[in-house]
Amino acid sequence: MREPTFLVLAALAGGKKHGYGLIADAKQLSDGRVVLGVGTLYAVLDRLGEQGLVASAGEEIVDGRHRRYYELTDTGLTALEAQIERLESNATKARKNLAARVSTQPAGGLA
Amino acid sequence: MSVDLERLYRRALAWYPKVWREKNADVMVGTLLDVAEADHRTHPRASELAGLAASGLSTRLGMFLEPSARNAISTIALATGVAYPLAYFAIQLWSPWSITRDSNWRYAEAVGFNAIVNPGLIFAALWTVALALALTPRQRGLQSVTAVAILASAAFSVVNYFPETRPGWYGLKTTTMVFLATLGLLVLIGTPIRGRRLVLCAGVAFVVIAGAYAFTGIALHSPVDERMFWNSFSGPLALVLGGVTLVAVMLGITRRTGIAQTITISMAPWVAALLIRFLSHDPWSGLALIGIVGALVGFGAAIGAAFHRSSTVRREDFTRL
Repeated sequence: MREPTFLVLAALAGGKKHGYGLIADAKQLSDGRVVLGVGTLYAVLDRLGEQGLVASAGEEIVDGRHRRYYELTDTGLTALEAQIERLESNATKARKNLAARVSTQPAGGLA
Repeated sequence: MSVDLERLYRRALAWYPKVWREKNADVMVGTLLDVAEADHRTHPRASELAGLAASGLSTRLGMFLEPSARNAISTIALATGVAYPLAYFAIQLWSPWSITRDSNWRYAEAVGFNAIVNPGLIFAALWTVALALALTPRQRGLQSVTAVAILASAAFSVVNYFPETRPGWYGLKTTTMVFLATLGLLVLIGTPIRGRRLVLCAGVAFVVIAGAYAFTGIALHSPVDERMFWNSFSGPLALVLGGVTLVAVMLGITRRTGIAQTITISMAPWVAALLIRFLSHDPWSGLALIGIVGALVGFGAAIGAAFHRSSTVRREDFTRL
């Protein structure tokens, strides 16, 4: 799963959101590292919709602007949980390797 | 927020298919205006417009091609695109193992590794960089480098038409340029796979193309030449492509749409190269090939239309939710 896809699913885990809400949440979740373009966002939503991971959750007009809300489906929730587990497992193993490396380094480091 | 900004965004959405715009344009414009307002902008960013153009074209393609097929086509094109210039470099330009080095001249000895005299070096470098970027986690920069490779192919094709501008020029031929440009375009239509599988694909493609390249020199006992490569393999390649077309037709009939699309479209660079080759040397074969290509395009369009109908139904189901 690519990072924009993961961030969109993660943003929707907090409840239904519209386009701009998703962009703002993805930016916050990634500490400002990932700023989704609008074209990218809707491409991701299209794909997630076709895969049944995300569904449309109604539309409204606010200040003359159309907003469509999106929400996670049950399948989307399962996919997100699986991805989080994968990432956590990878991170745990990586941290363990790093700790092992640090503990085997001679004191004082390289000359 | 100005009405002008909304008008500019709506104009930018013309890159998207009409069917898609009818369902999503209002919502997307609303989001674009929200983002512009948050940034205190009254004009679209150039990068934003470029992103909309890329996404729009991608959505258009997506209506006729399965995503898995697009990614497979992109992977095959990248692997082949890396393999050909590297095979050209290793077997023709460098030719360290040339069996004819004592009896004849070698490119490397004649012109050195000179990117001006022979731009083969430039293409080997560009496509190798593209492969390296495709292996990174986010593949950032892959599309830009591929676009540069396409533009370079187009530029050198133009130079090839004006012999007086290139005294002492050793390549590449227009056939190869068209071949590489078409491969570049196919790379852009999807996302290549990453990791070992991509390296394996590129390795297999290199072994096949380099082997075929070297074979022409061994069989004819002469220095390997790009022209000789296309001349020697035009006939057999046309036969192979014909056979593969039959396989694609059978797969299409049995509704294995993704594989049929992958095979059909992945043949495009080879067909394009043969077309250039035949039209310049054997016009009748060229015309016959145009007929075959026409039939292929018709077949591809029929598969695409079938996929479009089924995907439209899926999209409608999604937006109704």
